Amino acid sequence: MAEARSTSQSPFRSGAFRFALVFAGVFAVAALLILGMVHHQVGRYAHDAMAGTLKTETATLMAEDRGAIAAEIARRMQAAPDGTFLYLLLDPTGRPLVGTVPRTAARVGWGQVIMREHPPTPADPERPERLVTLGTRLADGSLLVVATDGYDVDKMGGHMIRFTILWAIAITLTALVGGWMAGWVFLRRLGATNAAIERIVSGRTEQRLPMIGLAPELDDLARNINRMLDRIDGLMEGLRQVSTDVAHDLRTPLTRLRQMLEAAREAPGREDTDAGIDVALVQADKLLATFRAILRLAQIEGGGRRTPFTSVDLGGLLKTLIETYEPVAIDADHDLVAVLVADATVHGDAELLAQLFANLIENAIIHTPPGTRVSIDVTRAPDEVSVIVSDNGPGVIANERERIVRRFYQVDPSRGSGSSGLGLSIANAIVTLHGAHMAIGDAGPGLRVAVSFQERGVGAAGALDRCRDALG
Amino acid sequence: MKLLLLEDDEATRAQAVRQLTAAGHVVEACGTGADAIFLATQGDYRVIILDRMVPGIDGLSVLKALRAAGIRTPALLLTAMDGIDDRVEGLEAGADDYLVKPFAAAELVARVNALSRRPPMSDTAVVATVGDLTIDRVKRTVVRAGQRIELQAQEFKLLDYLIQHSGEVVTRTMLLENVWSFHFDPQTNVIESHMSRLRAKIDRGFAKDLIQTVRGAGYRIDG
Repeated sequence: MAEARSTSQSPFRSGAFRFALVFAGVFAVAALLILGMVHHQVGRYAHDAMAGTLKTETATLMAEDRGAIAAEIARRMQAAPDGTFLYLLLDPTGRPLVGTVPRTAARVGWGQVIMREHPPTPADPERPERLVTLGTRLADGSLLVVATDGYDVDKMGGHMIRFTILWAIAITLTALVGGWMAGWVFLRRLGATNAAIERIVSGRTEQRLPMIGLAPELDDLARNINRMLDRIDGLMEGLRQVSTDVAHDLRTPLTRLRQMLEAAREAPGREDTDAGIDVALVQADKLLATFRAILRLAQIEGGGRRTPFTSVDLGGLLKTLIETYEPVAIDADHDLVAVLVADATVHGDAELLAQLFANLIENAIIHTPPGTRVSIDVTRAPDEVSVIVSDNGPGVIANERERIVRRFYQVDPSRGSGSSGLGLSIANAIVTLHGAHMAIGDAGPGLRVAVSFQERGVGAAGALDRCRDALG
Repeated sequence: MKLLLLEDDEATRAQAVRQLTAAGHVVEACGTGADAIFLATQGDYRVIILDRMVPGIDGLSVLKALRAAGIRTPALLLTAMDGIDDRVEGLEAGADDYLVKPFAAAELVARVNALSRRPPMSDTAVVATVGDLTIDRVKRTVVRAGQRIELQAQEFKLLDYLIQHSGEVVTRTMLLENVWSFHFDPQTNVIESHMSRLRAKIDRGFAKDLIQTVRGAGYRIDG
C-alpha cells in the first residue's frame, strides 16, 4: 500500500509550502500597493503643506511697509540663521538688496533651485540642498523671493520608502508563515481523509471519512463521499444478500419440483403421469417467474440506461389499475375503494409506475384475509403528490415493517402465500429510481404504504398558485 | 408457412424447430447473423424469428439490416433479458413482437401464429363477427344472437383482442402485454378474473361457448 504522499517528501515541494508561497506573493503585492498609495498621498500632503508656509511667509512680509521689508528680512535672518526660510529681495532694477537665495531663483511664481550653502560636515556630508522658491512682484517693481528647503519632505519620503519596504517584507513573511500554517492544517486534515480512504480501499468498507472542517463546503464534500460510500455499501450488501436469498429461497420450490417429477415417473397410469408433469410445469413456471422478477429487480436497482421519463398522469394510471384489480379483489372477497384527484402528474416511467402500484395493490390483496378493505388515495400538496395504499387487515408489527421491502421477505414464513416475495422489493426499487419516497406505516388497523413524489413541475405551478394566493 | 429462425444454441434451435414443425410450420434455421440476412433476402418467409444474442452480427443488427433493405417480414425477437430498454430497443429496430427466454412451446407457437397471419380486415374493421357475436369498435357495442351485451371497458378490450386473433391461441402473456400493457408477472389472477366475467356475459345462457381454454397455453375464441 502506498504511503501518504506529497506531505512527507521535501517540505518545499509540499502543498502547504506552495500554498504559503502563493499566499505570501498575493500579500506582498497587496502590501506594496497599499503602502505605495500611502507614500504617494503623504508626499503630496507634505508638499502642499510646504507650499502653504511659503505663501504665509510671503504674505507676512508683504504686510510690512515697503521700506521696512528689507529690514525685516535682515532681522529674521539674523534671529534664526538656520531657520526654515531663506530670502532674496531685488530692487526694481534687479539688484539684490538682501538675502541668501542664489540670483538664479529670481523669478515670479514657483520655482526650484539647487544650493550648496553649508560647508560639508562629517554628520551631514556635502549634499546639495533643493530649495523651493516663491517669487512675488511687489507694487514698486521689486521682487521678493522666499524659499524653503525640501529637506524635510525628502527625508520623510525616504522614511516612507524604507517603511514601505520593511512592512512589505514583514507582511510577506507573516503571510508566508501564516499560509504555511493554514496549508499545513488543511493538508493534515486532508491527510486524515486520505488515510481513511486508504483504509476503505484496503477492505475496511465500514469506515467513513472524518469531517475535513475549516469550511462547510469541505464538510459537504466529506458527507457526500460518505453518502456515496453508503450507497455502494448498500448495493454490495444487496448483492451479498441476493445471492444468499436466491440460494435459500429457490431450494424449496426446486426440491418440490424434483419430488413432483419423481412422483410423476412412479405414477401408475399414463394419465397420472401427465397430470404430474403438468403440476411440475406449473412449478417450473413459478420458478422462472421468480427469476424474471430477480432480473427485473436487478435491472431497476441498477439504474443504468433508461427509457426517458415522461409526464405520467397518476390519476389515469390508477383508474385503469383499479379497473384491472376490481374483479380480482371481488374474487378474493376484498373491497377496493379509491379516492383519486384529477391533477396528479408525476415525471416517470409509466410502465414501471404501473408495476409499482400493481405490486402494492396485489400485496394488499394477497396478504390480507377475506373481507378486508383496500383503499387507494391520491393526495396533492403544492409540490408533492402522494399515493397511499392501505388496508384494514391485520397489518405488520412495527419492527417488522422496515423489513418487508427486503427480498423474499415473508411476514409468516410458514404460510406460503404464493407470491414471489419480491413485489415490495421491486416497488421500493421503482420508488428509488423515481427519486420518490416510500413510507410504510400503520393504518390502524392494517398496513399503510405511502409513496410520495416531489414534483418539480408541479412545484413550480404550486409556487405560482401560492404567489396568486399571496396577491389575493 | 415458411419461417426463418436465427438461434445460435443448437439445443434451443432443434427444440424450437421441432415445436414449430409440430404446429404445422416449415422452418429454416441458421446459427449466424450473416446466414440469416442471406436467407431473409433470398427466401419468402411469413415470419422471421431472431435470437437477439448471437455471436457476430446479432439479432438486432440483422433486423436493422433487413428493415433498412426494405424487408418488412414480421419479426419476432427472442431475448434472455427482460429489460424494458431491451424491449423498446427491439421494437424500435423494427421487431413486431418480443419474447423472453425461456418460454413455453405454446407461447412461441402462439406468437408466431399471431404474426404469420396477415392482418385481416377484422383488425381494423369497425364491425367484427365471431359466430353469432358481433362487436362494433366505434360504438363499443356487443351483440350476440340479437341480444345486446353490456361490457366494462377492459372486458371489451379483452374481447376485441381475442376476436382480432379469432381461431388462434392467445397466451396469458400476450393478453397481459396487449390488453393491460403489463410487462411483468402479476401475482394475482388478473386474467382469470376478467376472463370469467367476460365469459359469464357472452357465453352464459347460450348453447355454444365462444371462448375456449386451451390447456397449458391460453385462450381461443372460435365461431
